[in-house]
Amino acid sequence: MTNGKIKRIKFMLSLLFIFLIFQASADNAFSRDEIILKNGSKISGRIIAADTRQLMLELSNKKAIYTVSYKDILRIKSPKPEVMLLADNHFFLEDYETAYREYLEVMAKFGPLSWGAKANLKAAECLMKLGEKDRALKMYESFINKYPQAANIDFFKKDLGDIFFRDKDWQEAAKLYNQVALSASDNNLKPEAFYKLAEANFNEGKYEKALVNYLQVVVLYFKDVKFAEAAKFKSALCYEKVEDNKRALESYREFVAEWPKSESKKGAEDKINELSKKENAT
Amino acid sequence: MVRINFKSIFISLIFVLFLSSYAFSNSQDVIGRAQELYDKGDYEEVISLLDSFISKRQKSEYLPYALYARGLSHYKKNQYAKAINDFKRITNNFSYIDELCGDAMMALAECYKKQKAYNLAIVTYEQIEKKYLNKQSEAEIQKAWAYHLSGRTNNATQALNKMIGSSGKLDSLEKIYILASMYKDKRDYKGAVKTFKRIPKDSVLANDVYYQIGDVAMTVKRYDKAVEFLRNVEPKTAYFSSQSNLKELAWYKMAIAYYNLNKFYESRIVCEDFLRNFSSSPFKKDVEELILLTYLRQQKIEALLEFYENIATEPGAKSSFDIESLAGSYFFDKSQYDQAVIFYEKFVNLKKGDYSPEILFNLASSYFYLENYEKASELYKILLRKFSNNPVAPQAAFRLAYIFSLQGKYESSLKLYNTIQRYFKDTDYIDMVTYNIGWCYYKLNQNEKALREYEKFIRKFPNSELLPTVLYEIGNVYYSQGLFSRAADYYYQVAERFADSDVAFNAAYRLGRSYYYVGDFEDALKRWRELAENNEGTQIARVAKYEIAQTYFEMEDLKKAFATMENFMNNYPDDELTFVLLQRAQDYFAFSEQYDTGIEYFKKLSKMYKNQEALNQNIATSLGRLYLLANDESKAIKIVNDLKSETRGFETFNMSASSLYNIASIMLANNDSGGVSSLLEKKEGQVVSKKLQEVYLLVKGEIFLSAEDYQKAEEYFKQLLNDYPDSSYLLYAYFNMAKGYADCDDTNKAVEVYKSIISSYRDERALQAYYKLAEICYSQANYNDALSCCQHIIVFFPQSMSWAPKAYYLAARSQDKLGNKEKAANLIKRMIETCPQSKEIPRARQLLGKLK
Repeated sequence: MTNGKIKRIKFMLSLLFIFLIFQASADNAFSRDEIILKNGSKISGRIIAADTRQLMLELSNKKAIYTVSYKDILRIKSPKPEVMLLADNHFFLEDYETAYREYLEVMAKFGPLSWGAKANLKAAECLMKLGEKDRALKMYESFINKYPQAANIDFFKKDLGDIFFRDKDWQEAAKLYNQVALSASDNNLKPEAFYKLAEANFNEGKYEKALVNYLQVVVLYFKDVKFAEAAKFKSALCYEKVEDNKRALESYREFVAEWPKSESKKGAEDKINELSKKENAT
Repeated sequence: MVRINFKSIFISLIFVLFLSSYAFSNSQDVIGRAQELYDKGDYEEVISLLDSFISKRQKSEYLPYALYARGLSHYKKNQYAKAINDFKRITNNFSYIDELCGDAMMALAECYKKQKAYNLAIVTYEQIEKKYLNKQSEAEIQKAWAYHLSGRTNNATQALNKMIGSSGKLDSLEKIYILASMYKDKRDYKGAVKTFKRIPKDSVLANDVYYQIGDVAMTVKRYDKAVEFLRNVEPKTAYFSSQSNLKELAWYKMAIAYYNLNKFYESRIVCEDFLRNFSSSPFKKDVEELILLTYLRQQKIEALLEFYENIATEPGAKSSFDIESLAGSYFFDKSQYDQAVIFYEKFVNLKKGDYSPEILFNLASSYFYLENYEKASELYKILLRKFSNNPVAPQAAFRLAYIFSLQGKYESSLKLYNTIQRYFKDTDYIDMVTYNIGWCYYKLNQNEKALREYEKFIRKFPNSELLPTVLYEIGNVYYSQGLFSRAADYYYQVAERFADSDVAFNAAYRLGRSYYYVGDFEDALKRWRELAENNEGTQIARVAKYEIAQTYFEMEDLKKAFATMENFMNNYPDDELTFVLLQRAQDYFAFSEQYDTGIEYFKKLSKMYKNQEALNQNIATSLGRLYLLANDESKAIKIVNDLKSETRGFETFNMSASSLYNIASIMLANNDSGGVSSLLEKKEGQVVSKKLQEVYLLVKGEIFLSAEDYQKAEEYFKQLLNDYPDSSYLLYAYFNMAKGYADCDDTNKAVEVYKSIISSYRDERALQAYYKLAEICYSQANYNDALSCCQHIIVFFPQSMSWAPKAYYLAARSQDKLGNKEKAANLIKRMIETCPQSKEIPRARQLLGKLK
């Protein structure tokens, strides 16, 4: 795709975005944030601020400001705030500085819940894009430590794990991936977390641990073809690394049988030939 | 087992009908409450509420609905008889309400099935088929199922086939599913899988089908296929009890499938996932045990113990897990007894006596195989005390008897073996028991009994694998009695008939020895040559070659003796047996008093092996000893001093036992007893070999002998004789002892010692003993015995330059004393003829003159 085309698309999207903001602003005059408490009752109003422990809500009749502790909140139903829309658009347009500022605004309003958590994740991402890795790391870590129960905490952990992974800090990366793999509430995150955990262990030379993690993907998440296929191939490689050539050979054969159209098929077949020769020689 | 559920939609319908009608009554609150209670599953309360309604409103038009609802509640409470009453009241009294009666009959049939009254259920379904067309299809299926449950599988299949026939195909997935389940229950697994596969993957039953096919694969042990299907299973089930979690069952089976495929990592992964997701499952403990097994199979003992410690802290865990026993048995089966002991010991300690005899037997046997016989015997004894009637008891007794025999407690051993022989004649190791009895008698020197037991063995167990061993042991009994010809007969049988047996080499070797002892040196040599040739490169060949050299010495074929000895030395320059042969050669020259010849020979050897440092140094000590005997002490001492400086005070000298003796005797001659003590202490401090211990005792005795402390000297020599009956230094000890007794004028004891030498040695090494004995007899005026001793030397060793002339002279004097002057003169004449160069000649001529 040419640069011209990209610019045109971005321009069109900007127009769409302005339209959406207009719509959102129009809606906003009437919209309500709704907080559902754990005891079943509902509170309607407009969220105006949040700190580490509670939310402040201007009640619908605007006669009072109500403070709700996070621990009492079951769920927040809230339309996407306009500033979040703005921030997402600036992020898309690669204006990370502006996006960052706007995400901070959302965070200040929503705290760790609902849009606040998402904004926090995006703000950290902005810092990464801006090359401010240390600040981004601090932001991730601070969020994880402050709000361990936050809804998207696993995404934070995974993203933070990715940063450590890129920095080849395998141990820190593995620690975070492990947390996601074992306790993520979103099952879709798990195959990737297990796979990346395996990769971190493999790169650190912990082949047996890596083998177990790869096999966790193969056995438990075989329907996630992208990771399962790669994990099966790498599990065979791990068997080679731990000098269990018999199992390695068996795994490469299983790989070829299960993924006959894989790009790695040729590599697996080469390995089968090589290992078969070794086995015959012994 | 498949179970048909009541359809909740129908229950709701009844309630809606019931409630909507009842809404006009004054009991709306009661009915509302009943529905609420039913939804909550509080059937007891529903029954109680409706009991009251039914008893008070007998004429109500809503009575049948109340009865139906109460019947369902009874059904839920497994009160089938009461439920049947309610459903029957509906079908009998309210047959005009078609829809309700149809449902009541279906429920009634279901109750019959629950009561296993399958015939009644089938009859009811047949009535439904006839009366209620809208329920015909469902009744047909359920009837088939009732047939199936009652074991009338053919009727069930016929019923289903009828359904297929009527429509040309199975018109519902449910029917297909039931048919497939029947095939499965009939163990027609191919038919089952084929039929299950007809259910589309997007159907509501697909999940159950994955499970069912996986289950079939598990049954037929196609574990790879089982994994392929079971891994797709989700928790929800369309056909199982709503309380079942299909994924839980599937995961449990999949873990087992991986385990059976020897994919232990995969098995553990599934197990761990299972424990994360189904922590209150009834299979939890099985799954935990499976994890332990995977660790075991991978021999990850630390991980196993860590995991076990974690689960063992759970309430009630210890009572249900016998991981120690499991692990112990695993290692025991793999013959890894050290590991087995660790786990069995833990188990036995945990159970405090509450364990099976098999566990105790395995633990004892682990110790047995580890050769910890003390511990093994202790445990076997406990086993025999606690479980004397258990099938493992005879084997425990057998092992214990074996341990007793190893400990030299042959009497105790015999008692146990005899008990086994008497009471457990049919054990498959009874031949071994008989053999061991014979062996114990042999060890107790009850040779007759031993032979009798062995002969019994040959009669009773002619095909036993132990037969060659028994023949060999019979040979040993005769051998130990000095009956070498008889021994040779048995050894020959083993060597020829059972050449592949374990004892064949030993038998061939002892056969050679037996020939040797009866003086059949040629046959002895033949045996050893065969052994050497057939086993070239092995230890057997080495020993056989040694024996060949030794036999040539015995035959006094010195040319061949030295040639074979040198050949042996070339092949095994630093071998222990090389040093024994060197000593043998040295002894030959020493005892025949051919010191000069010996010195020349050892000088030649020294040149030959100048590049073999250790060998050459040991040769030097023999040379030194011969110099000492030839009264050239200064040369002997020089050799020792040179060796001492050359080897950093003997530090680097790989000294043979005989060399140690040679050096010590030279030092003693040089009055350096301090040096000898320091040399011995140095050797004593090291891990001292048997040979060095022997020499230590000998030299210590000699030190005390030279210090004229005869009592202490005697202690050392006796210790050598008693503790090392096979020592090659016995002769030295004997001569030293005899010398000590003679110095103390204890002639009787000296005579005893010389007689012992004569009975033990038949070659030139006995010459000196014969002569010394002759001297004592002569001094005691026992001229006949003196004469006899001298005659032995003259007849058998006429070529002995040292002893033959002395024997002639003493024999002549004895004849003279006996008054046989002519015989005495003849002896002197023969002496002059055969030994003209002897130092004894002048004295002999003098005697001859006197005799004339």
